[in-house]
Amino acid sequence: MQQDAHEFLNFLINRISEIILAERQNSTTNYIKSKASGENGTILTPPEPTWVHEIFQGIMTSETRCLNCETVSSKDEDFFDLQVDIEQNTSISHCLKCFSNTETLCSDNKFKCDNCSSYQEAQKRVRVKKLPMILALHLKRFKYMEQYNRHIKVSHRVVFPLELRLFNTSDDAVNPDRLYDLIAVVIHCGSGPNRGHYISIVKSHGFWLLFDDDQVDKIDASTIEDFYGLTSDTQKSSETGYILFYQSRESL
Amino acid sequence: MSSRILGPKMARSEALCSQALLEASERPLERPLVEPGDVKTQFVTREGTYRLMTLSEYSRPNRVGYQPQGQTPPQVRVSLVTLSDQGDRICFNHGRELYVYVYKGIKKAADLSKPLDKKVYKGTNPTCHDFNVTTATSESVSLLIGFSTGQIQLIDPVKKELSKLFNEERLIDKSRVTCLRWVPGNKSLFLAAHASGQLYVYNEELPCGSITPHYQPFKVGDEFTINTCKTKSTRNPLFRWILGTGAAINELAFNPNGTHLATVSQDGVLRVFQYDSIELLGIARSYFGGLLCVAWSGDGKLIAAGGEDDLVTIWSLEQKRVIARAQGHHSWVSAVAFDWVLEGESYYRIGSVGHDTQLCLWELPEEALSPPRQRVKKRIDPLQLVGTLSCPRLDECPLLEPLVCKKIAHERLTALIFRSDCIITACQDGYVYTWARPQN
Repeated sequence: MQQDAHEFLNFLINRISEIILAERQNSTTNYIKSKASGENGTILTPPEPTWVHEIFQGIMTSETRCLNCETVSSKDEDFFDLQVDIEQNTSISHCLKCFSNTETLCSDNKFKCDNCSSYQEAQKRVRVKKLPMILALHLKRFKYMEQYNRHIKVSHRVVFPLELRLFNTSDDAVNPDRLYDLIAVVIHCGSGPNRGHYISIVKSHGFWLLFDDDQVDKIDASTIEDFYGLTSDTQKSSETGYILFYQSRESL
Repeated sequence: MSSRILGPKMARSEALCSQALLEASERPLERPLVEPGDVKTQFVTREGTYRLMTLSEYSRPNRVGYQPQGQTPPQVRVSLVTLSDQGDRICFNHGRELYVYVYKGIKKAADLSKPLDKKVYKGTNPTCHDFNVTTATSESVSLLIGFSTGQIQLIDPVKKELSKLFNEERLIDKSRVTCLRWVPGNKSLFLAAHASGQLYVYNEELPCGSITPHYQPFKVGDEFTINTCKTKSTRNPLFRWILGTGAAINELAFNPNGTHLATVSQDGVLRVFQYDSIELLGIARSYFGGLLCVAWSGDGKLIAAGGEDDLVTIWSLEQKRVIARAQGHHSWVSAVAFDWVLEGESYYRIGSVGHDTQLCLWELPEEALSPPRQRVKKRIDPLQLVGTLSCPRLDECPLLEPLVCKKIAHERLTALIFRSDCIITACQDGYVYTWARPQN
């Protein structure tokens, strides 16, 4: 059984953050114990972000407009990566724009409006409020198809530039025109979600390196286009970009 | 139904031979199966309806799609030339092949059985080409062809006797030729841009040296250096231009009267030069990513550049600033052009095609042409790239919506040319389409 690279990324980031927080907990407990004799009571503060948060964490804000009372409510949510749906012959910028398209909540999926104190139809839009230092983009290439009763691989051609800015930032975003550089791509090679092989390309000291198990080769940046995907469905297998890592240029 | 060979082409005897059918039946379908009507064959603007002329489709003679081997093949590009009393000639490249046909436009069906010239190359792919429109006659036409391995060939597809090679030993530049342009009004000078970020001026009457050229500085400007060759006798290249820090130059365009040269590069910079004096008149930047294509307005006042930010950026030569951005493509913009026929006093029509298989048409609102209002100064970009006249922030410059935005192909689109009676588009699958303008 082939494991999923994105699942692993999630697991890894969460696990690292758990370990750091647990260690910090231990040292704080010791610290409190040692000081306990002198003072009574401690002040509760929210946990300081760990280095893994500082690197990957961004904030997205979802704004919901109740179609009954027109009240707009917004809710912030942390993220470590953005999971984007993909379409044939598009760019990652376009897929990100679609990620922030306005969605209408209706029928079974109505919105509980606090102002109206009832379920109402509403419009919802999710945009990026805090742009992370490393922007990890997960292309949803493994899609459940009802007619086949299984997940299939979507090999659509989705181009990704070496430089990126976001078009889908919220109005109150602090750094909406942050400039990113592509630094790594996890590539899935194969025909389906349960089989195949992962390789990755990483930019290191100005050179692009291709990591394939124990083999590492220097590649030309122009060969990255071989990993955009396919424009037709005639080929069974494909080598396609699956997780993209963009690094903010200011952070260098 | 999606197979081009078994589809509507059945009715056309001249293009179909049994050989083509035989070959076609042995191959899998070249295109994805899609619902009919997915791809548009006409579109409407205020001046009327543009229609795809299905009989004016140019491709390889047997209409069988090209099977790329290994790497992604180069972009399919189109060059045209008008010969006095002899009509037009069209040239396009596809994979490792290059074709020259008589172009009959919207008047007569294409005859694909008799290409004027057909070339198949080994170990290299043609990447770009350009006809010399200044010297073209009914007896002789000079056609330059650039290759993925850096060489440049000069042929005459009418006379058939001429064939010269430049940079044959790859001593001048080993990288891919990205764009070739004859210097307007000149019978022998041409420019060759390379993926190395260098641009060379050649004289087709001169030989290339037998050793790697030695250069000496001629002019050093802001972010560019011009060198000449250090030789006793005059040899090619006459000049070498180095733009920026060596990012691939993707396209060159001379303004209509041939005095100014615009270049776009993979570093996302548009550079505009006074050509003769090699003076940098101004720059613009993409919002992000490389700029892939560039074009001038008919009056030479505006430049449009398309790129990896999915935008068409419009820059004013008079005001030296980005005056508008056009947003509507779903992927990178691979070719852009101004419609010189519809252009009028402060009226501009722009077209673009992209990797999203869409054709977009844009109109520049007149307000965009007037100098901007004073704006509140914002936080300064630490990289000093965005928030400038050469790259305004998204909310600091008008964002145009398309007048027309149509999916017209299954594969990415690679070329766009406006002519008096039609629009020509080309697709990465090797098809060149002709769209008749509305009749009035």
